[in-house]
Formats: sequence, structure tokens, C-alpha cells
Amino acid sequence: MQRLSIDPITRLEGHGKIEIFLNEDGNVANTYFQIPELRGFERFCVGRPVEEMPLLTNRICGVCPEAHHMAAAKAADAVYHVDPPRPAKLLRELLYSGFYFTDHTTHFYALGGPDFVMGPDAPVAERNILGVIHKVGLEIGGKVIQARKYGHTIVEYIGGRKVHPCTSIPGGLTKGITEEQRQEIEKMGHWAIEFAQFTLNLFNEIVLGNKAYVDLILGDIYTHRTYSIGLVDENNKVNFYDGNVSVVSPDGERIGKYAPSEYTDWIAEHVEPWTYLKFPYLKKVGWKGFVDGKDSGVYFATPLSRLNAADGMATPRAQEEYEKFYSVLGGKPVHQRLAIHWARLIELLYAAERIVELATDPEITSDNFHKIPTETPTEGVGIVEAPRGTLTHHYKTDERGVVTMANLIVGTTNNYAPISMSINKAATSLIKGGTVVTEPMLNMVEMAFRAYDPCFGCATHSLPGQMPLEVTIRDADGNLVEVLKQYC
Amino acid sequence: MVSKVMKTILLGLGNPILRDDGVGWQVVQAIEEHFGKNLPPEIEIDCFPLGGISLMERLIGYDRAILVDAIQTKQSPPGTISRLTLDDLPSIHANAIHDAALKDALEFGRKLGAELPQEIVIYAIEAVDLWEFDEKLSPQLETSVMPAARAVLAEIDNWRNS
Repeated sequence: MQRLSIDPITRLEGHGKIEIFLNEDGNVANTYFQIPELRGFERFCVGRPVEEMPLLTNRICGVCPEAHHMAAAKAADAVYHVDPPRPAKLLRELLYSGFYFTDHTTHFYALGGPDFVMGPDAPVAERNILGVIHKVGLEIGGKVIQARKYGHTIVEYIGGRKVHPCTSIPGGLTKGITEEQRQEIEKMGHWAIEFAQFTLNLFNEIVLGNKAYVDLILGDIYTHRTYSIGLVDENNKVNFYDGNVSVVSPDGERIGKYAPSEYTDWIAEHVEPWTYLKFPYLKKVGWKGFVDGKDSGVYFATPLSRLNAADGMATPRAQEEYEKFYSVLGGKPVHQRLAIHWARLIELLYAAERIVELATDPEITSDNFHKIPTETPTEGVGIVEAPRGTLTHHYKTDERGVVTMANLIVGTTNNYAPISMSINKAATSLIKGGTVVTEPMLNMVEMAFRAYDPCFGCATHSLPGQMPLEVTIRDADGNLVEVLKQYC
Repeated sequence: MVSKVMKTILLGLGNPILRDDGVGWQVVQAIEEHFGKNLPPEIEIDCFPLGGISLMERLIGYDRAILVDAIQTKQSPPGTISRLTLDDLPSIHANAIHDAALKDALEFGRKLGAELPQEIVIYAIEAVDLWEFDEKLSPQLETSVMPAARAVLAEIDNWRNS
């Protein structure tokens, strides 16, 4: 058996590792996607007051601290049985929309976009943000920085800090915003709408205008018929901050919606011997292995699944793009995983429109942003949509509000099974007996999971000692045939 | 003639609740605590949890920067302090958050006209454990905090005297 190893994966947070085992005919026998487990978070949380959790959990990750801050705050609300006043919910959602706008922008221009803007065949050294601005123009680079600045400013005005917001507490927030800040945010929101539309146009020109890319998106290599999940509001429209989780079958039928407190009725976790990380699946459907279809409990949680799980977008321009999306891709639900990139941009526009909607709500500057909890704390679950998937925080406390149990299902964990399946399918489709494995081919395998925007990072700021891409090929007896290295 | 004051930033990088990943924070906090009063006003001290484009954005407006961070080469004993420059890091993927490597992010920023430090020095401390949630460092790193702090201070002195 031959062994191909991509370790660790380029542009992926943390240190994931893909191993591809080939059989004696040179075809793919099996693939394994391994992620190092971060240990001891529950133990770390136990014994701390639950109101600390929004501050503590946003340190888990440098990529989406705002998502952890919000999920923890909502779980802490639930622990104290307190429903924050409407202005508090509006402010939290406004902060969150600013965060989404920054995060989705950065992903498209720096992480996922290069595959399309530069092309999957481009040398690895060019598939990054420098390659993108070289191709699309320096002016666009300036807009990316401006977009990030605006998103950070909104987070800072409401969350108290540009990084790691600190104002959400059980029952609401510690502060509101001034009329002056509101006006500024509204202005930024209008700019954000234009920028999101500009980005969608760019995607239209570069990706949808290129038949090879459209064929790649629609092709079988990157298609999986699994369940879709995503948070929806009372009208079943996509919502990032609040609502219930909608679950839609591969045929597009909504099999139900669950409230945060019901998540254990819906989600269970499967264990495999080759990895420490568990594979969440739909309990009501059951684990049938790494397979597609209505009988398999595998689901995915991404921008695309959110669109699939909803009946539409709650803002007008995003709704237009939503309709176009399904019209071009042949109706709902869409299963082609590379379409996640397009879905992300529709969400970018929604986030921008939502910034304006929230900033112009008459209650947004109200000083009624906190309700003092009066009940004895017990147990609570908070769910938000992180950019990379549904994020669930679950805490139990004693009667003083001190945490006795903490459980988190993070965005990427939801997608562990489908990512593994996508890698396997791409590798099986691209690597056949007798073919020479090239860098563009391995990048096409990587594209299978990059669409999910997986993130396993926490220790990522530490400097790696060596370069991340190494492909090892071994023959059936385990002898080294060839080693391909980049930046080693 | 009065020479221009070089605006300098000293940043501790990493995640302060992920054991040895928090070593950069602890080093700059030690500098602030023990030597902060004696530092010249043109030096700003901060801790920062992000890399990539976010780190580049944080460095805008400074002439010089010292970054203190964990490193895992597995080629040096735990706690080893290394002085590195950007050229010592791989050109891409290194230090990536969810966007770009620091070196690429700096090039991106400069192309856009951002005023970024001309001189960036990195003090890296060899880590043992970057995967366990804990606010404490591994014992082998605890004894490296003050020596790393003194090395950083020597670097600052050197700059001031040059």
C-alpha cells in the first residue's frame, strides 16, 4: 500500500493532517483526516463563575472570539433563566453582524478566494492575498482593510474592545451605544452593503463567468448529499444570533427544528479509533458510517447548509441573491460543497444589510440594555451560528452560579464527518492508478475541505518550526518512493 | 540636531489560557511589572492574541517592533530563547491566523501604503505543550520568562544606544 501524507494542511488553522493510503494499483484505498485535540477545556471551566464564561471562552480561539462570546453569553442567560431586554439583543446582534462582515470578507479575499481568483493550478506561493491583489488590483486590497476596520469598530463600540469583546453578561450588556456611534455605524453599514455587492459582482465575473470553475463547482467531485443545519428566525429566515436550529434532509424536507435546550435530543457523537475528535451526527437518523443519503445521520453546518436549512434571507438584497443562487445551481438544496464560497458572500451581504437595519432600529440607543437576573442559576444552552458552523455552549452550575459542567460543540466539529468524506471523494476522484501526484492535484484535494473553512486553532500564534506541506509516497512494502516538499 | 524618536512596540503574542502559548504574554507582563517605570515613553507594551493580517494592522504606525512568542521546533530544549527576524520564518503559512502569514500580511500592508515597522525582531521561546488549556506555563518555561525579559530589554537598550 502506498501512503500520501499532506501534513499539515496549507492555510489551515492549527495542525491538521491528511493521510491518503493507496492500494497496489495506485488507487485510493482510504483517507484519514486527523486533528490534534485541544485538551482540558471542561476542567479549565469548572469552578469558575458562569458570568466569566463569555470572557473566558472567547480566548479559546483567535479566529472567532465573538462567536464564543455570544454563545457563552446566551448560555449564561439561560443558566440564570433571564431573557435580556430587546435593546440588549439588538446590540448583541449588531456586534455580531459587524464581526461576520469582517470574518467573511477576510475569508473570501485571503483564504478561500485565492483558489478561484488565482485558480487551483496556480503555484502555491501565489494562492494567497498577495496573489489576489496582484490580480484584482491594489484598490481592492484597500477596501478589504477598510471593511475589516469598520467591522472591528462596530465590535469595539458595543463589545468594549476590538478583539475579545467583554460586555455581554447574563441578562444583557454592561453598556449601550451613543447616538453619535449609532450614526457612524449606520454610515459604515451603507458602505458595507456596497462592498458586499461589489464582492458578489467580483465573484460573478471571476468564478461564474468562467465555465471551468462552474463545471468544477457543479461536478461530482465536490458533491455530497447530506443533511443541512442552520439557525433560523421565527419566519425560517437565516439568523446568525438567535432562533432555533432547522434540520433539512438531503431532499430538502425540513425534518424539524430544535431549541438550544433540546440539542442533546438531536445531536449525538460517534467515536472512531483513529482520532480523538468525535463525529457529531443526527441522533434521530443514526450513524451509518461516512456515507451520503437520507438514511445517514451525517450533516453539515456551513454558510451553504444555513441557506439550505432556511426558507430565505431576512433582508431584501440578500434575498435576491439567495433566489439567484438556487436558480443558477438548480434548486434547493444545493449539495455542491464548493458553493459554500458563494453562499458565504450572500451571507456577507445579509450581514451588511442587517448592520443598517439594526443601527436604524429606534431602540438601539436605549439604555435598557440589561435585566438583573433574579432566579437561582441551574443549567443552560446557548447557540449561535459561528461563521464556520453552528456553535453550541452548554453549562451546568451550582446554586451560586459556579460552573460544574461545560460542553462545547464548535463550528468545525460539526463538519468533521463531511470534511472527511469530501477529502476521500476528491482524492478518490483525482488520484487514479498510474497518475503522477502533482501539487495542483493535491491542492484540489485540499480545496475539498477548505470550502468548509475548517478551524482548529488556538495555539496557532506560536511560530511553527518548519514548513507545512510534505507529501510522502510509499510503496506497498512501506519503502519510501518519493518525498515532495514545499517550504520545508 | 535632535534625532527622530523611534516609536517602538513590544508585543506579547499567543493565547494566555493555552499553557505554553501564553509565554509571550508572560514575558511582556514581567517587563511591564519589573521594568515598566524605567522604560522610555516611546515604547508601547501590549499583549495581542492574533497573527496574520490582524497583527499587521496592530503594527501600523510604529518604526520598530519586538514580538515575543512561543515556538515549537522540537529541535531545541524546552525554554530555549531564540532571537529571530522575519527572514527566519517560512515565507508563507507560518504564523497564519485564518488569513495570511505575517510576512505576507506585512507585504500586503506596505503595498497599500501602511506605515509599518522597518525593523521587526522576534524573541521565540521553545514550548512544550500548546494543546492543554491552562494559565500556567510548563515548569521548563517558567524559568525562561525573566531571562527572555532581560534579553528583550537588552535589545531595547541596544536600539537606544545605536
